[in-house]
Amino acid sequence: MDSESNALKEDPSLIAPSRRRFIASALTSALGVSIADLVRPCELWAQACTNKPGQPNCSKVGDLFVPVREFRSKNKKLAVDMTVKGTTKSVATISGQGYQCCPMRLRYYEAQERGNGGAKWPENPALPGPGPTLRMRVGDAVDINLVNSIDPNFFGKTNSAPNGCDLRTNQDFKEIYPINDNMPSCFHEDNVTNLHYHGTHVTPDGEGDNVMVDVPPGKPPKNTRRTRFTLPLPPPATNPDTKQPFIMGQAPGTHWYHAHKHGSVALQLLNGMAGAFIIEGEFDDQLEALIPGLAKTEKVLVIQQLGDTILIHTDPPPMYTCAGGDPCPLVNGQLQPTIEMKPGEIQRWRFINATMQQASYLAYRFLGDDAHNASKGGPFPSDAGYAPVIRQIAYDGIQLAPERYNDPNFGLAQEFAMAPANRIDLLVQAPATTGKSRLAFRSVYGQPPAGCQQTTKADFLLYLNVSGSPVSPAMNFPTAANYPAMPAWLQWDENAPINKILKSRTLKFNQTLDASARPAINDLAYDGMPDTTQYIKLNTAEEWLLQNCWDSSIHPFHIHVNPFQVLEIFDPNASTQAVLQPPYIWRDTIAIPASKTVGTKLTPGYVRIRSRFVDFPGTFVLHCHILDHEDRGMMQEVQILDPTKPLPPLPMHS
Amino acid sequence: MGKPKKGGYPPPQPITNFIEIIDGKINPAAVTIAWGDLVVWTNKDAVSYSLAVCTNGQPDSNKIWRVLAGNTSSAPLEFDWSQGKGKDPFTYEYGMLPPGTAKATITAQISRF
Repeated sequence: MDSESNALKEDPSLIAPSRRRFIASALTSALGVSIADLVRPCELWAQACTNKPGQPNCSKVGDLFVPVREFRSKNKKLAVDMTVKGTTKSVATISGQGYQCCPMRLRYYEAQERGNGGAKWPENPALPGPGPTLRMRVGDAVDINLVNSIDPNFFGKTNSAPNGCDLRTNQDFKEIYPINDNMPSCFHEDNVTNLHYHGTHVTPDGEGDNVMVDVPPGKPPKNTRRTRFTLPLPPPATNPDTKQPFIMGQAPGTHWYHAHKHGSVALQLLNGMAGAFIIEGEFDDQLEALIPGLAKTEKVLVIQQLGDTILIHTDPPPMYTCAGGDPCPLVNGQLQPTIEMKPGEIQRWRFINATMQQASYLAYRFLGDDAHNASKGGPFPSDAGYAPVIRQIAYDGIQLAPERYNDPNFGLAQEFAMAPANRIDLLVQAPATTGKSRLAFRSVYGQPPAGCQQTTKADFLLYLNVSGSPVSPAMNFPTAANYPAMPAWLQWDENAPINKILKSRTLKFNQTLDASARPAINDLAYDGMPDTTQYIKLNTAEEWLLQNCWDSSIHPFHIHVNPFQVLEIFDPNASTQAVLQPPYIWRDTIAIPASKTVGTKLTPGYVRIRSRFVDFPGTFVLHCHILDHEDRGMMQEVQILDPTKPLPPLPMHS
Repeated sequence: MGKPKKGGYPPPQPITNFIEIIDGKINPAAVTIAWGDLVVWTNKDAVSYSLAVCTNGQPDSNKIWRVLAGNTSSAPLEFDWSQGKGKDPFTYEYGMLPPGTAKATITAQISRF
């Protein structure tokens, strides 16, 4: 740790909560006004990067954790207006060059609950962080109006290249981008957006979870897009679209929303255009019955790496891209905040990895302060010292089966990993005595390419401070016997006709064979045509083999609308392979391990999955959730075809 | 983005710096950025300008960085380090065409501080 960072940690006044931020936040909540109304205007606009802590609006180490404002459904309906804007935000990081607080022009969500006096978020646009947390329950109607109010002139001109891709040159008149990238799979239309509801099981068409639409800046109606869908109740509830009983319900859990316009997803996620989308259901009721009061103390932690620029590295080829440097993972926009608990208390923590690059594929473990300091960025020590006990209860917003809750590799493990887009739900029990620990992290796959590397200067996400009297009455984790059973629709009955595997597919995550050598699937960059589209029959099950042919990177595979079960993971760089057992864990994003090349022999990493493509015909996408890979072509369309209906027209990205 | 010869690596996260042109003047006239950073110019005047690297102290019409229409922002210009740049920091002098009177500097170095 450099001297600046050490100073940060050793000065109690700096570790104490930011009184100004906390009071201002509380005041605005109470008065219903913007922080901009309470502070001098000059405080909102930092003029240059600084390496001095304590700047207004800039997070500093150890600030008290500030939850993101929640908008909850009322009368079984969530109605929110989401306006995309641009402003200058103060982003803190601890990089290879120490603490920095930089003003950055970022796109963000300004949201308001519809109706008179609806709550607003953010209270202070100069503070970075996610959009509001949206919370509802299965069976609720969702009605979100997205308005793109970005002023393109605020961000600089894009799409200058003759083929429509972003143009970037350097000071020596050399072209850095697009070189050989071309439409539609290149960085382009940075100010065009849309919304994806990651983890939802709803129609991908029309006003559903439709990412095939573009919402440009400008004037209504073109800059406006309305989303309206109802979250499915558990089967045998009736699907209003087909009048048939649902086969899958909506998994209640920790999901999220984010921008998903192909060509600008990475930049908009790097800007922070994401938020939590929490869906509650029977699982939550069961947990609350087992641990009364759990909902009241729940924490939603949106992990982001924020920046205003995608780094494009061209020398030596092939081109690669990332956020660049080493932006520190932030929690709800805060740098290493402090969460308070009482001795013995159990809280539910919902983690969302809303980052966009490989460097944020991190393994996490609580370590006592002493153990963390002694580890010096090396492997996690076997003795974690003063640390809470964790139990994982859900993965990607889908509850674990009791067998997996009691599995040493999952529910009982004290270490967990999240690739970009993964979510992890934990029960966290504070030690019985007071003390302080940190949630430390390590890169799962070592160092990515130069310029993209994860910092070792700031290798923990947050502090946990345990103080006060022990919680009373004593709180206990669910036991193997009373942990909630999986609902029938999340069980995979091998004998049920719907679960019969009708087709197998292999998807190779590799590079294009042309000069661009872009991220690709089966040698092709996404082109919106049938050669990059998977056609699947409605209400059938399939087994897929997902191969990673890159030595240098994982590829987090994500598919919209339908989650999948992970049957096997093969990591050629690992000395041992985990053997997965049924009931298999449901996921919607899985990191395909990197390949291994010895001499001229490449051994791909791979994942085997199975999924049911049920309830909703329509068009959506699968892709790598390292989002610069996705923007440059590692994506395919998926068409779920209902054999009882006429074929839809050829897929085209609108 | 290349790797500077000495110290300081990894580089800081690249950011975009914004420079305004108002009433025919470049503001700020001198900025310090890190290698890898980008610069966007916003022309708040109604007339168009070209921004050109200086040769012998004058904007060189053969070395135009950006052409800016009135009331627009430029595409980002990336300042990347490459072999031959010499020791860091490196100061670029540039100015506007026409009329070539307003000049400014951008200094790129390994750190912003």
